[in-house]
Amino acid sequence: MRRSVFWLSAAGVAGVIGGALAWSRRASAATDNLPPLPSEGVSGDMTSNWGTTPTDLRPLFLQMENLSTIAGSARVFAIIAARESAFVTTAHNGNAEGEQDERDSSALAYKNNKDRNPPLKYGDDAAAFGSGGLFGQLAPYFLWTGVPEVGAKAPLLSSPPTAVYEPALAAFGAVVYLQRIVQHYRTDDIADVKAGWANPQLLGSARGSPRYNETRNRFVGDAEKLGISLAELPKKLVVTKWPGVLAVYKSLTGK
Amino acid sequence: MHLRDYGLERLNDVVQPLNLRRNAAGWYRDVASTLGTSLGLLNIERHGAGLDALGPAYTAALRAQRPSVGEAQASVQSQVLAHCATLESPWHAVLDPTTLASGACFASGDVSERAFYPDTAPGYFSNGHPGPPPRAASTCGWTTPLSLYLGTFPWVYSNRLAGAPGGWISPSLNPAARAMDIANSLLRPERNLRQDAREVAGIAAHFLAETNRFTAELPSSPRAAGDVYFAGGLLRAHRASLAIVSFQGPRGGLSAYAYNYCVLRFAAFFAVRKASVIALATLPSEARKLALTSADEVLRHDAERAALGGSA
Repeated sequence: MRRSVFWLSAAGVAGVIGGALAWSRRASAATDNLPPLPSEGVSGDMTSNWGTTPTDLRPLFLQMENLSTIAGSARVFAIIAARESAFVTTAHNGNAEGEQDERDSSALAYKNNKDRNPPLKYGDDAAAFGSGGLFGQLAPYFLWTGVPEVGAKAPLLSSPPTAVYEPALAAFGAVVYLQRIVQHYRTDDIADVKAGWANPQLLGSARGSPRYNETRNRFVGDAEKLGISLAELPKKLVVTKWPGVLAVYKSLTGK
Repeated sequence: MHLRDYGLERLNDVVQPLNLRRNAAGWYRDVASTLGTSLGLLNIERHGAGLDALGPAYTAALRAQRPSVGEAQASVQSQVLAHCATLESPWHAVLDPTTLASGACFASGDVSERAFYPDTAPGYFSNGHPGPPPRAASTCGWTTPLSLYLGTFPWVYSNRLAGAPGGWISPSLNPAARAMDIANSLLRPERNLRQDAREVAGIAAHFLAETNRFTAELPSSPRAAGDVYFAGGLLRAHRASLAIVSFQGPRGGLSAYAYNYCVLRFAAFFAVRKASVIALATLPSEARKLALTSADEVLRHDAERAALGGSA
C-alpha cells in the first residue's frame, strides 16, 4: 500500500517521487490537463461536522455532493476516504506482497465482467492492479464507471488503472458508484450505503449476514474516529436530480 | 535592507515585496490568505479583512472542535500572553515562570500543573533553552524557562510541529486570539521595528537549516498527481492533499502546513521590515527613533541612510 509514504523521512522522499514516475509514463488523455483540487469556490459548509477531514479535501467532497445531488454525501465520501486511503490520493492496495487478496479481487472482477462490458484498453493491467485512489476503488470497476448509463461512451475505458490516483477521476468513479447504490438498491440508512459500497450483494441476498453487520459497524466506527456525527446527516441518502454520468465527468474534469 | 544582510536569501521568493504606500491592502490580504491556508482555514475573508481575519477565522475553527483546555489553564495562558504582549521582542518569549503572578501554573483539582509545555530540548527553532533555572521554586514543577515562539503562533513550540497545533481555547476564554494578535502585531510597521530582527533571523536560519534535509530532496515541479514538491520556497502537493503530508527527522515530526506557515511568517516579517525602512519618513516619529537607535546594525544603518535620503 503506498499511502504510508506520506509520513516522510528524508530518505522516504525519493520513494514518493520514484513511485509517481512509474505510472506517469502511462498517462492517458483522461489524466491530461486535469484541474487542481477545487478550493474555496465550492458552495457548502467547510467547517461544521468534518472532524479531522483534511481541509484541502473538503471542497472536493462538497463538489461531489453538489454534483451527485445527494444531500449529506460529502461527509460520507470523507468517511469512506478515511478508511480506504487515509486521504492519500495515490493509495494503492495491491502492490504489496501481502495484498494478494486485492489483486485476486480485481482479477476476478475483470474476468467475470469483461464479456458483458466494453473492452478496457488496459484490461490486463486493471486485472492485476487491485484497488486504489482516494476511495479505494477496484480497478476494473473504476474504469468501467458509467458503462451502465452511457455504454461505450464511458470516459475511462482507455485509461490505465493508475488514473485512479487522480482525485478528479476517483471522485467521478465514487459519485457514479454512490448514485447507483442509492438509486438501484434498498438502503435503509447511511450505514447501508457503506455496506453496498463494499459489495452490493450485502444489500440483497447477504443483507443481515455477519459481513453486512460488520461492514455497517465498521463504518459507524470510522465516522466516530474521524469526528463526523452521522446523527447530523440525513438519515437516508437520496438522489434528488441526477445530472447524468457525462455531466458529472465534465464538471469534475472540465472535459 | 536585503535578506542577505540576515543570511536569509532563501526567503526571497516566498512573499511579494510590500510597498506600504501602494499595495499594502492587497499584500496583507494575500499574506493572510496564504497563512490561513496553512492553518487549514478556508474563506477567511468572511471573518474580516487582511490579518484581522486570521484570529477570528482560527478561533472559529477551534470552536467547531471541542475546546482543548479548561478555564483555569486558559485564564493563566491569557495572563501570560498579556505579559508577553508588553515585551520589546515577543517573537520568542523566554520567561522565568516563577516571576509571573500565576507562576505559569494552574490548579487542576488538588494538583498544580504547568499552563504551557516545557519546550526546552533542541528542536526546529533552536538548539534548546535548558536554562537558566527559575529563581524561585515552582509550584507546578517548572525547572526550565518558559519558551514560546509567538511569532509563529500557533506553532509556538520548537519540538511540536507535527500535526495540528494545540487549541488554546476554553468554553469562555480565548488565549488563542490574544496569541494570534501578538503574531500579527509583528507584521505591523511600528511593532515590527521594535522587535529585534537578529533574533528572528537566528530562529529562521535554524529552522531552514533543520528542514533543509526535507526540502532539498524534493523536486521543484511535479511530474504526476500526488507528487509533493518544493517551489517558491514552499511545500506543495500536486492534485493531492498537502494537509496530510508530514516529515520525520531527528528533531521530530514536521507537518507540511507547519513548514509553510512558519516560512511565511518569517518572510512576511522581513518584508514588513524592509517596507518599513523604505517608508520610514512617513511613519510616526517614535518608529523613526526606534530604527535610528536600534541595536540591530542592519536596521540602524538602513535607517540612517534613509534619513539621509538614500536607498534602504
